[in-house]
Amino acid sequence: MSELPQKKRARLAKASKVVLKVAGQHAVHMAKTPFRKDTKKANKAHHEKIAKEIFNALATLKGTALKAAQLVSLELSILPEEMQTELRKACYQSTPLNRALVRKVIQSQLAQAPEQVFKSIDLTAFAAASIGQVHRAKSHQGRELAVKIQYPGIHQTIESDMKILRVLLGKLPVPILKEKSKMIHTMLAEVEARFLEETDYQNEAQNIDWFRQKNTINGIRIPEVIPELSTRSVLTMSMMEGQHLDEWLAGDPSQEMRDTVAQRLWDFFRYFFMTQQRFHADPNPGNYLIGPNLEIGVIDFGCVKQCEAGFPAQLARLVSYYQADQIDEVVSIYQEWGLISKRQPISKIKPGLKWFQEWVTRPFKEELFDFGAHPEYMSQRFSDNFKAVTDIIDNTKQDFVMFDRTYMGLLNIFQKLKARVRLSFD
Amino acid sequence: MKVSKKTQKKTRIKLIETAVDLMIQNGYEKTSMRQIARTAKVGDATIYNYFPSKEKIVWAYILHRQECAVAKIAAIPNFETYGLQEQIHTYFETILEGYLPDREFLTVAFKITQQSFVTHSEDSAPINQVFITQIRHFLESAIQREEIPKQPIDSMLPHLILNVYMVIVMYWMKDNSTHFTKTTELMDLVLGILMGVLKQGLIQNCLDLGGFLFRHTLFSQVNSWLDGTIMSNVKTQFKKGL
Ligand SMILES: Nc1ncnc2c1ncn2[C@@H]1O[C@H](COP(=O)(O)OP(=O)(O)OP(=O)(O)O)[C@@H](O)[C@H]1O
Ligand SMILES: [Mg+2]
Repeated sequence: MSELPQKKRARLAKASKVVLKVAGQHAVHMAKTPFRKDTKKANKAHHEKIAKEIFNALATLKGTALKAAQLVSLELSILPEEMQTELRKACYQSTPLNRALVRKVIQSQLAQAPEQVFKSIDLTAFAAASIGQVHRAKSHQGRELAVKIQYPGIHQTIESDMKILRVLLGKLPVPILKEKSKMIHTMLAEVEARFLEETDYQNEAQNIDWFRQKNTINGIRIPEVIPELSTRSVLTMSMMEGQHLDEWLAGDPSQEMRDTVAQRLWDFFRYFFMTQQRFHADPNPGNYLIGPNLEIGVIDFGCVKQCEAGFPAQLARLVSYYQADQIDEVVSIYQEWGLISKRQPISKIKPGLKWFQEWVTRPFKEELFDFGAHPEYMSQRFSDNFKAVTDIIDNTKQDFVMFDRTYMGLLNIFQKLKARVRLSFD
Repeated sequence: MKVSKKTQKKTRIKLIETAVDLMIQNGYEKTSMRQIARTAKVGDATIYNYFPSKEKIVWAYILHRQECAVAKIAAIPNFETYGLQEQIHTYFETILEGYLPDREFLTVAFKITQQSFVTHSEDSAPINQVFITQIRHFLESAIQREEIPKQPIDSMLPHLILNVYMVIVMYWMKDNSTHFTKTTELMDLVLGILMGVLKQGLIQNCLDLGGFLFRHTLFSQVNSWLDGTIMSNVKTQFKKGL
């Protein structure tokens, strides 16, 4: 069930309390430090304490706002790596809708009782979704279906949660949040727009149809929407068989199998990004079902990004400039996107990009990049070196936010798969 | 000529439906028995074999809706496997679903019948009886499958639930949220609280205290939830009703 107003108020109050608490601790710490000898140690403890508080606050957010929080904290490395990983796992599970509520949603959306709409339907969900739940059903024609049902009133919950998140990020006495407020603003605007789109299942249905029509990638399957059984808050599609990526991986598949799966995921992304300027922007392992013959069922087209026409080509060029060590060109693209302000002297920018250049081009240097042989690769994003990049970035670009989320998400999966992948934008 | 029971029942329903349609179209006052009879293609005098007055038709309409809801939930597959809260909630939603096409009429109906059917009268008794029998049946099965502890299900408890139901209906009549989501939320909230009390076997204590404790908890929760201005009279009803 959706949040009731008084609970929302309670959570907003809780969020403000965290802010005050963290601010208080910060003040106490500032007052104490001059008299401390072991400042470094105290500093570390202090930061851990603050991080813990922030983490606790962020982890109470619901579905989409939680995703936004994950994104911002990852992008800005506000939290230490372990907490970042924890936060990524924190996946708020709402209490499932009981059968009376499921009936009510179906009845009001499809104007008939569930047993009339479907030949059969299990009113107890088999999977949780971030803003709804998914039920197994059979059509009158005998087709196996997955029916995604949205929590009533979730729209308001998202808006109020985004408000809480903005309060948190705006008030926390963490210097980087102040310095990067412009960037955070752009990011949140983009994320909120995408997530509000997710609440319209009709939009998701259109996306599924579109991708299904255009998909030519070998080994990628996309569900089929049943339009007459789909509305704004009910999405009925063909049931995809297969295991979640994580489950599948737990079954210890061979190197070749993992390589195949990873390559298919990359090809799927690259093809749509480069040729259609449009891509599936939610690469979480729960959105891929590995079926027979390693066919990958891609589900969850709630979050799809349409970029400006020139963006993908420019991004591919950016990578080539990095590889060719043409840093002036790199900087000018960043400037054009607004990531780096033109006021910053190039002499300051170049050293900041040095480490990043090496890091970001590494997977492109080899014909097949072996994530298994470089187990540290993705976690280097949390190293101090990475902060040098954050220092020179002033803002971000909406297209870039979703690209980055997807690219990093895919690489995280490849790292988990210990796969060998041919990464390229050509 | 003797008319079969089945035909009789059909005519009765036809008359009720016609009357309601006409009353929605032209208003209660402007609808006459004669007009109802003619529109339903029943003899001017025959209608009086079924209903002595317009008012009785309105009562019959409410009873009919209650009976339909009972029949509808009986047809839901596996309904007996639902939990108590799910059963009561589905029952309430089913009644409202039935009223939906005539929602505006409900306001009129309540005015004509001069009361919420909480107060007992010759006309309201059969309606309440249908409701209470159904609720008692839910409660008994819940005790049998040990979902709630054994507790007396005398008339007090079902009546309390009837009161809750009436408040929800009143809220629903004014609810303008899409698909009456707000009403559904209210049901979920109120039934959730009721279930908590039932599961702990505390309802008797609450009723012994003249319902004070229950009313207090419920009201304080619901109060913070109902913050729209139009809701003030529902609130008053709520306080009175319990
Ligand atoms: N067509 C389908 N076939 C089989 N399973 C499905 C299908 N659609 C959804 N599911 C199951 O339901 C789960 C949630 O669905 P989905 O990912 O679409 O929801 P979501 O609201 O977008 O969730 P999140 O944002 O958390 O990924 C999936 O992980 C999968 O297990
Ligand atoms: Mg998903």
